[in-house]
Amino acid sequence: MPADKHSEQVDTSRRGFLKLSGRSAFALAAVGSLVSVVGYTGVRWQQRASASAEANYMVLRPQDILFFGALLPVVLGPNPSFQASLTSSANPASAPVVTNTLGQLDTMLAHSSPAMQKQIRDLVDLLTFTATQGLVSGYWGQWQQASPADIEAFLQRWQNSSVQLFRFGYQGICQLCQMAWYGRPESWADIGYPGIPSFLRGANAGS
Amino acid sequence: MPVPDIFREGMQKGWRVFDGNQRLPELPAPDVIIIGSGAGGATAAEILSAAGLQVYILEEGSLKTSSDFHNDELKAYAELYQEGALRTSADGGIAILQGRTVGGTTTVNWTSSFRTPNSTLAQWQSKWGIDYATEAEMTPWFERMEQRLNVSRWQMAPNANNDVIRKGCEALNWDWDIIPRNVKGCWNLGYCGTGCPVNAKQSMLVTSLPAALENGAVLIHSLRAVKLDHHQGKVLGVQCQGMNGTLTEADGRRFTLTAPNLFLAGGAINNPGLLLRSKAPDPHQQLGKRTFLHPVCMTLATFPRAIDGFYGAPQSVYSDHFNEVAPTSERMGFKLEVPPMQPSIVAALMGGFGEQHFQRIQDLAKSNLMLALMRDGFFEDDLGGQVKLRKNGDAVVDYPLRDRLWATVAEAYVKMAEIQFAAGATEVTPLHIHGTATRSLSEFKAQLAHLAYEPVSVRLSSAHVMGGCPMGADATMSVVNPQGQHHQLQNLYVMDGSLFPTSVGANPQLSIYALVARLATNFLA
Ligand SMILES: Cc1cc2nc3c(=O)[nH]c(=O)nc-3n(C[C@H](O)[C@H](O)[C@H](O)COP(=O)(O)OP(=O)(O)OC[C@H]3O[C@@H](n4cnc5c(N)ncnc54)[C@H](O)[C@@H]3O)c2cc1C
Ligand code: SF4
Repeated sequence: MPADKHSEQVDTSRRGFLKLSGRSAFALAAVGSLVSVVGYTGVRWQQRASASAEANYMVLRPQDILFFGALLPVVLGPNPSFQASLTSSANPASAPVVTNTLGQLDTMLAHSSPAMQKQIRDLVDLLTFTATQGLVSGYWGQWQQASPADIEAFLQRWQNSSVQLFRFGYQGICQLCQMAWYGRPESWADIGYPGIPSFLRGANAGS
Repeated sequence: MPVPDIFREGMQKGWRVFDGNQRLPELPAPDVIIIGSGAGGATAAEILSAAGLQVYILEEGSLKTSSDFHNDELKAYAELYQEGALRTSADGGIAILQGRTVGGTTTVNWTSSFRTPNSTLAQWQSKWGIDYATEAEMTPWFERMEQRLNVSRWQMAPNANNDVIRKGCEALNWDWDIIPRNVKGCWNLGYCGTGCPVNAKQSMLVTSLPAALENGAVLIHSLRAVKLDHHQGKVLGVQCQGMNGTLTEADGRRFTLTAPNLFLAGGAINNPGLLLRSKAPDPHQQLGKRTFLHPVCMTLATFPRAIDGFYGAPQSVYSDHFNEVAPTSERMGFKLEVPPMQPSIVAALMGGFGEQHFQRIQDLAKSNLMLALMRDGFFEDDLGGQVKLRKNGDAVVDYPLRDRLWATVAEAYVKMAEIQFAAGATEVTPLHIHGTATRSLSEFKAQLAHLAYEPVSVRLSSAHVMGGCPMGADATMSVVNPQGQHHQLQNLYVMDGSLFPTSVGANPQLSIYALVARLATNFLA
């Protein structure tokens, strides 16, 4: 598969590509695939991606929201509270569980670091820019329209990849979604976590 | 029954605590500026201020105190941890937890309080020329800090999560013991990692920092030491800048502070980062090298009974059965412990997605995670990581994963699974990108034979960042001398966990307290 082949080159020169300053590894993977496949330069590719956060968000841009919004239900799987909220919403993409979890994710990233924020932006760009998306993810359509099977196939492809960067991307996507959702009280009933001890809630919380 | 917030009360009494973005009032000039308010910085601050020195403590994290701690995991990770708890090594191979708040990592740590193992001291003495690294020389300092921070063996029953180690080790006839903790009137809640809401944890936030502030110390939080100005072997000043509201960047008010002496206590990774940004002299290219992490690998077990590991003292039982290894060993030593089991962190650790992940997290209340802290830095082929600067000046550790580490992971996985099965687990899963549940030790071992030992696939994390400014008698292989004094910058001292020339081989806080107490006292002499 062509995609894995170029990325393999990126991977084997791990020391080398970390030294190339100013670009996260994800940006480099994108540039690497582009240069060899479509002849674009990284600079032009980077100019194409929208750079500013969506209104009411600190970090997440419109394309990040679409991407994570589409992946969340698959990453979280058959979680009853999450799924119930999805199915009772006219538009699942704006179900409260989705927007609340994305808001939580946004807060997490807003408090992380410029490097982490950039890494996530580059990751999403790699996975949404037309010239790279299909090549690295195996899925060519719009993420909002992807079926759960398409998304699962993508996640498994990265989970099983021999390319460290893709495994890291897989792990990052899953962990961010899982941390954000399971940090929220509405997720706890399904997993047997009774929440903060009640005497504390009375004594000290909410001040 | 509201719990008194002793820090806010102290501020009302007139402690000199300021936000780095606020204009400072007229203040007495500092004798010593201490960068970082964690284990090392606060310990030094108490000792110097008690001797009458005017101390300034700079902290890039914000001020959060017991009335801000509501056991809300995500709020705590965002506000109290470096990089919002999303820090990793350069290539993402190891997730790294460190504090970023007043009190440093002690505000969020899990209270386990071990003395430095003798085998570690012995290596520091023989290989690094640290003459006082002996049990006899260090015991008085351990005792002093144990008293100061009320360290004692945990008296209540361990929670079921910790009890897995006791049960398993007893069945196997392996060593285990109860963990000493630095707590006073602990409510056994289990939320040490999100800040103790009842001020029972004897962190720096409720002990040494209040004492230093009572002695007239000045604490400026939300302020980053960006660079040191130095000339001809002396530090002249500290360029400081206020942090933004989410603590990701210093973009606020800038000013320079000066003092005759400077203590660096920003913790490992960040200390070398500051020195690299400052282009501190480093003739032997040692700065930032030998950064150690006690990398941790884990196994997840499910029990047919309630474990409820989210409640109760997070760490109360450990096993050192595998922590000492012969010089000829191909693996590192490892210490066995458990982490607390709050849902957000556990959800992120357990791996998988969709159905598989939900199956795992659904059993949260019946689950136990066990971890092996790998004792890095004791062999010639085990050099740890190296701190580098990102383009924007932020520090990052590049930590290559070598064969010795993988050999240790392979062995630790098996030993942990053995303990978990012996304690009655029905299923054990290695936390590996392809790990799946197994129902017996033989099935578990068979699975391991098919797993790749490679970065990211083996889930590794760290909560113990050490080294990077190693001390030693030989200036060609260290950054500071055994008194903590920088080899080239004579009025600069390192006073925290970045001093260690190897990892500790035990949770590091008490090693830091004792060592810094000794060095700060020595500085006064
Ligand atoms: C979740 C968790 C649990 C832990 N549990 C235990 C435990 O049970 N037992 C144990 O022994 N150890 C534990 N540890 C580790 C232990 O707390 C740390 O090793 C120890 O606190 C490190 O002390 P330090 O002085 O080196 O740095 P820290 O305590 O990390 O303090 C450094 C401080 O300096 C600040 N700083 C850094 N750079 C700058 C700068 N340029 N300008 C201004 N300020 C700066 C940082 O924000 C930080 O607040 C735990 C760690 C974590 C993350
Ligand atoms: S377990 Fe004890 S020390 Fe830890 S948060 Fe709870 S009360 Fe505080």
